[in-house]
Amino acid sequence: VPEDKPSGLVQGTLYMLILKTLDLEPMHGYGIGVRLEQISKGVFQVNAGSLFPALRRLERDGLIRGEWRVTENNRRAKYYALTPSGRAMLKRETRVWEVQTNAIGRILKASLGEL
Amino acid sequence: MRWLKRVMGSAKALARSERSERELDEELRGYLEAVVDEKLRSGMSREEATRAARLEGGLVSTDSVKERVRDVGWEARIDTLWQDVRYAGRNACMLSTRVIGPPSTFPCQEKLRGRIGQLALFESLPSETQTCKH
Repeated sequence: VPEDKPSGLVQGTLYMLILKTLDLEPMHGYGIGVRLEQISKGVFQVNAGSLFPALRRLERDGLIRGEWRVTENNRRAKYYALTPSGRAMLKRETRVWEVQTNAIGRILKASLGEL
Repeated sequence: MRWLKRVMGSAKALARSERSERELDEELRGYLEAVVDEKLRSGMSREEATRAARLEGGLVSTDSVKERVRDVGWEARIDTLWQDVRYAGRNACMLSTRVIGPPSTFPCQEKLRGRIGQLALFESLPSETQTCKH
């Protein structure tokens, strides 16, 4: 595995990334995977084994809602959209993520002189 | 008539689960077809495309993906059970500190470990027992 292609996401972040993807527009499972890969410039590749359990969990928790529609290729697909609770959760999680990544960044850059 | 309601409820739950199973099948089939299409567009033969799609899409075994999706339901039940155990542990902790003597003598967790702490349940809940207030 090349260094710039980590094999897995930081645990727990997949839910947040899916919510963010669906905040842009409703999508089906395959579309979500493609969009994540596209936005991350190929760094994250989410396969069905991770994606579908995550979608099921988010749907079960009422954060996303699924609806069957016909795709541009004339196939039936389940499109997921963010619910109001999903949008609120995304906002909260994004805030927590920013605080944590800033803190981690500060720790990684710390030197004795600064302390 | 309560038994009839129960039977109807069970039948509905079963129907929902069958529908959800059918939907998951259709969803995974659609996902696989979309990945195969993408591979075909890149010039692979159908056979190669299907093999690559299964490998890269994590669908070598559709059953294992379905199993993982189904597990989400069980996970929810385990979560609920865990919450119940923690709640019961907290209540038992508060009760035991009231029964066992002056609260200021020892920290809550020490009392639990010393007197009723043989229960493995409390051994596994250090953070909860620490938060007991007298």
